[in-house]
Amino acid sequence: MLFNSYAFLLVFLPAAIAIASVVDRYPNRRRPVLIALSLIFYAYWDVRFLPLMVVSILANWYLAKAYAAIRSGALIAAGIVGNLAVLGFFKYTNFLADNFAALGIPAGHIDVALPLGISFFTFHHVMYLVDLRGGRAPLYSLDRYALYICYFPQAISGPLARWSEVMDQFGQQMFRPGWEERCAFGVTLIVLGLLQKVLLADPVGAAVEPVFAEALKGPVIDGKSWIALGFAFQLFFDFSGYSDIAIGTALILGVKLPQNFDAPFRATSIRDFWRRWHMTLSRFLRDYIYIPLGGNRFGLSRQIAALLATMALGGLWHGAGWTFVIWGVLQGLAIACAVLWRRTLPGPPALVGWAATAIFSILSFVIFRAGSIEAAWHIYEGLMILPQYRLEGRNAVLAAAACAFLLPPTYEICRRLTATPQLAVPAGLGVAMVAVLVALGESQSYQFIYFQF
Amino acid sequence: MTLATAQTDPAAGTSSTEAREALRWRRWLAAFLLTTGLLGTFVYAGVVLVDPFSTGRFTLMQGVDVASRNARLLKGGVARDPRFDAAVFGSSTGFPLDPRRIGNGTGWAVAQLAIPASLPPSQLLVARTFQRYHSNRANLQIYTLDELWCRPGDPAAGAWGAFPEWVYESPDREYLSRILFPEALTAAARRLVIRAGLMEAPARADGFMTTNLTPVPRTKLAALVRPSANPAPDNRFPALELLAAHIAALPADSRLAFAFMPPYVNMLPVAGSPAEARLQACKARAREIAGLRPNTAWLDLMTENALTTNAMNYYDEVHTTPAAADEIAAAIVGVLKEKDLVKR
Repeated sequence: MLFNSYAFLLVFLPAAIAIASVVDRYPNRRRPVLIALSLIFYAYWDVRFLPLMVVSILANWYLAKAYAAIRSGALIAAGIVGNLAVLGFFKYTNFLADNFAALGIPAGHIDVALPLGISFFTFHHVMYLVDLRGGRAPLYSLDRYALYICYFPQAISGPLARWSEVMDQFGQQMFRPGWEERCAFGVTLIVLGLLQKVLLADPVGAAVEPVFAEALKGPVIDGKSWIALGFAFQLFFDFSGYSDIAIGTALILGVKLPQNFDAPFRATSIRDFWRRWHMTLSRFLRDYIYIPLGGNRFGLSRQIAALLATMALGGLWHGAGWTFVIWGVLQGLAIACAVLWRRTLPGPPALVGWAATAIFSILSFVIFRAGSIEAAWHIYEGLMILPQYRLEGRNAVLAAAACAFLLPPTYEICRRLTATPQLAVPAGLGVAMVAVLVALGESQSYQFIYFQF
Repeated sequence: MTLATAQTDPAAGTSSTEAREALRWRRWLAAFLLTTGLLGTFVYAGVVLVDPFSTGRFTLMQGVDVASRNARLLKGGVARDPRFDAAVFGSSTGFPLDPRRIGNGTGWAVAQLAIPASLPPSQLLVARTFQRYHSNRANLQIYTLDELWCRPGDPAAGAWGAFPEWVYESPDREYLSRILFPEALTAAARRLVIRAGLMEAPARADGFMTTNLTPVPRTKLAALVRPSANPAPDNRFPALELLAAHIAALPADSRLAFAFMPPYVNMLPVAGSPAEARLQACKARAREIAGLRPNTAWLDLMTENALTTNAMNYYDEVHTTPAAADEIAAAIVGVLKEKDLVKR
């Protein structure tokens, strides 16, 4: 079920809130009801994937339980390998087959759909198992663990909350003191999330799509490549919007999920950018890949190798293709350059750092989206041609760029809008919500990009 | 707030300030729900009752107004308009035909129901809608055929975005679940303004709209390589079988015309090639289908002729200029007269 659908906004979400409100007075029923709602939400997309989700939860929980009993690290290692193997089977089998074929080794494709949210729930399992092995995570009850994995606001596309951030919140009373303000904050986040998706991301998506399609066929003419640069803003508002709806929904139900974006296009260095962009994934990459690989504890060359490996894996996580790997490696190289710069030279003025970071990130997202290295090259080549004044989609891209560069993070906007309970704010949000509902009727509303990862 | 309610609330354990604050936030939430609910209901009910595409459903405004410039949507109303007793169906290749030119030559009141970017199943849906609303009298139906009808495989494959079938034919529930979207809201407002006499309709009542395509360079047309390979040696034409089933269900007194529309000559297959054999087989099957009924006219302009060999007649490979469209309309009038299918 898409967050930007009538099914979610007019049926599932109100029903979920109503049901959660009814069971709120029965502490023992809160978690089971939320699990049931989450599984319905997950199955609505494709019921065939529901058994995978359920088996994944049960297998990992029983493994954790067994580990708690016998304390064998091999169990955890097997669990992590198993989770990654499942992810690899669904997501990377055909990618590997293509690479084998390129090397002259015949390997067949499998015809299997990618289960929704598998990249996210795999990482949730891994985070918990690693911390269990490290003695940082306790063994939780099955219902808490199940909610950690399948909790519907975050199950499909994050945020990648850590177990420690959410586990104890599951089952808390929804109508505890302060719920009214919390709900108002959640409602504001949901409306702002939908506005980001419908008003900013979708129009840019409609503008960039034909340009990338043209790039797949050949050179891009008439300076249209400049429109393709808008993809960075499409991706940002698409995913930031999704995250805000997820966080807002959870907040209404009484659970605080971590923030996922912090105005990344206002970052003044590439390191700063990655502290602001998909923050929960960045933390995962840092704590569960970069630091275990040595981090900055074993000298500069090891640190740079760890950075490159981490970001390359981060790229590959986004999609099974070399363009994603290259995008990840480029991020790693940029961060490595920043590390070297900081060791040898004084930091550049903030404005220079901001400009360099913005240009690099916008240009590198072209590879992320292009679909092939050749197509990305066609876009870059097309940037040599100055854009015509009246390029189709220009206004959508410029509006999104202005919002990305100038607006504070949505969390901050929400904080300002809900600093005091002014009635003009909910009235305005109500009008915006109706506008969004009308806009959603257009069949051209795009899916959230992060669903495919 | 009264003194009593300003006291500490022992059940919740909150101070009076907190209780007041909570109350203000509850009002905040109520204001959001009320605004969304009331405005949403007003907008939705307004769109449904105004009936932006003149479908005649759930509305008191039973007349037909053209209030949209989107051909896929506006023709849902035109298809049911009782002022017309004839219609042109097809895709973008039939779209430039001016129905007045056909009507002037034959006496029929013709509606233009060809829709750009529509596949054969969608074109037949439009035709079914026209027939449903005009079954009470003799009518003329002109089917403009193009390469889409000769394709192998699923006739619904390769759609250019979802066709709004629900405007033409749908259960009430589906219609009501789809009617709220930006163009519907705009068209609803426009319909009210048009009814108030404050604005001209964005297109003619018969559904005709002028086409303003940017012509591709003539050199590009000249450089086209004529096809020679046959994409499907079995010579099956699934779209034509849909057409056969469709016209078999029409009443015996319906007058029909079939016209193969003229693409630019370089889109025609090489003479004697497998592709040409397939095209001829397609035309033969279409003619066979047409031949099964009385009162049927036939026109084949998909040949090398004075129209198709002149690049000035084309905006691009398949789309003709208004002047060329007028020539095609004259040719259609010619075959209708020849077959005595004019209105008496």
